[in-house]
Amino acid sequence: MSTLTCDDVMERLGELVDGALEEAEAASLGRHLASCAACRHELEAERELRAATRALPGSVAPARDLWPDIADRIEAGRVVRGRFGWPPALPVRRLATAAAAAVVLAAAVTAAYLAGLNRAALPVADAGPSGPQTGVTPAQLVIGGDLTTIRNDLRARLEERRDELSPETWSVVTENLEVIDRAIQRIQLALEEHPYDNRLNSHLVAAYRLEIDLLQRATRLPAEI
Amino acid sequence: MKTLTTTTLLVLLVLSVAGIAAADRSVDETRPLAPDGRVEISNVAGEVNVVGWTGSGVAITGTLGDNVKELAVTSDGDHLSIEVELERKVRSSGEARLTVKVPIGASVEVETVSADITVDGVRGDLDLESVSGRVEVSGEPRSLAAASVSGDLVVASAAGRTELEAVSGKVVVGRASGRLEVSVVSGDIELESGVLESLELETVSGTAVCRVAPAAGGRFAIETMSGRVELVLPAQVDADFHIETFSGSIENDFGPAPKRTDEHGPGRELRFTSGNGGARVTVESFSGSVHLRTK
Repeated sequence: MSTLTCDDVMERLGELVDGALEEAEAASLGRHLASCAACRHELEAERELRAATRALPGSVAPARDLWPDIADRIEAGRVVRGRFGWPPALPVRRLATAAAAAVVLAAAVTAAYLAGLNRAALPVADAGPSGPQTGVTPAQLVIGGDLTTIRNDLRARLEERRDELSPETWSVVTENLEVIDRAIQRIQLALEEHPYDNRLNSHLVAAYRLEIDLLQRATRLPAEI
Repeated sequence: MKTLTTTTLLVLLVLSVAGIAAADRSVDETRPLAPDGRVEISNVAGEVNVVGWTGSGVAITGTLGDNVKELAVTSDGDHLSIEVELERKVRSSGEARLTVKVPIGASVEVETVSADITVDGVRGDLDLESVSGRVEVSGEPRSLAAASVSGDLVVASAAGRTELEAVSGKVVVGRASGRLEVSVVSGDIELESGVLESLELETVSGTAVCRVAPAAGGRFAIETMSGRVELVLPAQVDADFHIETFSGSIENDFGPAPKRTDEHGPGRELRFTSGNGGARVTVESFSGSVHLRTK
């Protein structure tokens, strides 16, 4: 086999992890991986994705048991007190980590679900009654329930702080949330036409993450008024 | 009548000068700090200028405006806290203008609401955050994390690990090296020059113009929703490119033309290797256009 490029390796990583490559081809990839940190990183990510997929229940629904812990933290309103002494906010760093983990999981579930549609070998292939026959896109399945709860909670907290932020800051925050919302809406519209486009799911997850990032930041801004 | 008017004006002038004097109290304090100590500064409005110096400890100068209750300074040798405290009733209307000289090797954390932040010549870790103030950094800190909502972030030289996050503010980096992460919603991004080990950049609608190159084996990961991305690279750059858009256009000065990803869809994809390859450049766009330009 001729010298492999990173793109060649990327295209075969899934088969390598699955043990589906011929011995010579696997050895060739192994030589490239031995000298390429970037591809080793991708290989590790692929293995982690597969491990996360295997750990999921035999359903495409997100793992709900991640969320009670997040919800408890929101309810408790644990204080992150800045030096300006602004009001109690969400436990930003921990919530960010948890939310990011949830989004990553959502992405993993989405990817696994999509992969499951094409590759019956994956454990999540049992799409059950929520599969594509229902007309519901995988992204809608994943970006539902608890993430919506988080978004709504953060938006409610932001609204509570409206009188503490200057009109200029409020305007910037809300206008930029609208920018993200418009992006989300456009991606969702695109998903209706191309429900199994992996790129769209990736963009959608990224847009939701950016929205949560902005909401978290906005809810912990120091009081200006 | 004329004498009375003149007298009245003089009285008003004296009262006015007295008022100004009362409003602008000067600050001039020095405190000890270890050469690699940590300094935390918070100020709502006005400005915070931090300067690295070879002198001993920390020197604080400046003025406290009306409605500023006091400047609270506390220290324990390795750590110094400088906090502008406002009168309780006025919250954010009190301005303080501070210049803080710190040891060159110190680490500095600054938080402001509308106050501008400038840092020059500090080589420790910097953590700077403002709501609407402009944040400007020169010198080469070991690491830099800067965030704003509407304020611009302007970094003369980013080395080591740099994280810049703005909402609508503009992000400008003069010379970049090391590892750089930039995230904006609608603000524009300009990376003017440099060679980076890694670049992670994301924008929703802001335009990103990047005149930086990946180091050998480096990695660029750029994601945009609707913002335009322009990469200006040396014509002989050694890199593997993978550009993908759902509906945005792709223009490539390096030669290969993008392909449609779907016979019926608007998507475009472009994969090619420039020079010997090695570095990886990926750009993922929803509807934003992607332009690869040669220098």
